[in-house]
Amino acid sequence: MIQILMINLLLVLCVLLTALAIYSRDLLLAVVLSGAEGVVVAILFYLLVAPDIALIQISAAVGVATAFFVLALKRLKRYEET
Amino acid sequence: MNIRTVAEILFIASLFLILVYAMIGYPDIGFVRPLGEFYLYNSFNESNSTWWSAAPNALTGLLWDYRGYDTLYETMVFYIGATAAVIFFERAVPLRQSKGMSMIVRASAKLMFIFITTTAIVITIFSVKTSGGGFQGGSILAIAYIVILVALSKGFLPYLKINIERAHLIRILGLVIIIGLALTPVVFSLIMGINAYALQNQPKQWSPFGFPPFLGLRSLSGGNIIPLSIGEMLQVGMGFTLMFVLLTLKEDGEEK
Repeated sequence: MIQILMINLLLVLCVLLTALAIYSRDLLLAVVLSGAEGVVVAILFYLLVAPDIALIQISAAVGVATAFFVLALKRLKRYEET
Repeated sequence: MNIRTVAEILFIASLFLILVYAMIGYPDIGFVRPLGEFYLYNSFNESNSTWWSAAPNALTGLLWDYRGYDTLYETMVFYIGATAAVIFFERAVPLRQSKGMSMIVRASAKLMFIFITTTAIVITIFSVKTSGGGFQGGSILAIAYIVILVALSKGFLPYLKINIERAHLIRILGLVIIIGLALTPVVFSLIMGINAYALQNQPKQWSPFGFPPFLGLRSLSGGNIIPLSIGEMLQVGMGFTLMFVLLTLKEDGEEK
């Protein structure tokens, strides 16, 4: 029961971080927030007893994808125009 | 409060509700389906070694033995994707070694690189026994290079003895290891005149070819799983690194 409660709390956190990333005008902050969301998803995978998928999530979705986004951001402006 | 805000709030709330329903409403907790039962009983059952894969981590056995073709094609899809990125971004710009690095920066960066690479290799090799695998190790290997690229500069990569051609070669070497191991049983069966499958790992009653299941004293090797994982690690790690290096090079070309 505690585990299911914790998983639900993490899902709430996940949705909140995604919403913040979508609404953030600072694109670098959005990249960092989506990275944080990836970490939360990795913890979820770990709680659902899939530690190897958690490893992929941490290394590919948080590490490599965030680095690619930061690189793409160097070619754009940092702040989104309204 | 305009209509757009309301729609957005409704969208996020429904997304959240779907996620919670997926968690609470999942009906099968504590119930193993027949296919899962087969894997649970047979993937690590030495007394009935017809179906086992000699790997204590059943998941790695599943990935490279029971569903070997699936992983093989996945690896090939990743290879082709990275090749497409390379064709798209290729510029014949050699990596120049930057001179402004002090010795402390160089030494600490090399130390960090060694730590991350060791983690990648350990996660790849011990995927036979604990959770891990070739793709995970490969992404961590790529992170070792990407951290150096982001934190310092691409002029630092020559200090680590890596350039674009070498990354290409290592990537192809990874694929050659995988395909060679997949075709070894076929070649063996053609020479010896017995039955064997492509990507066969352990001997079956009707096809006696098999890779050795033990390394030394009763230490399970998983047959061909460790070299296959190493091949995938090299392929994935160098693919990511190559894409990243080429992206940074393209940018420099445009600035000039």
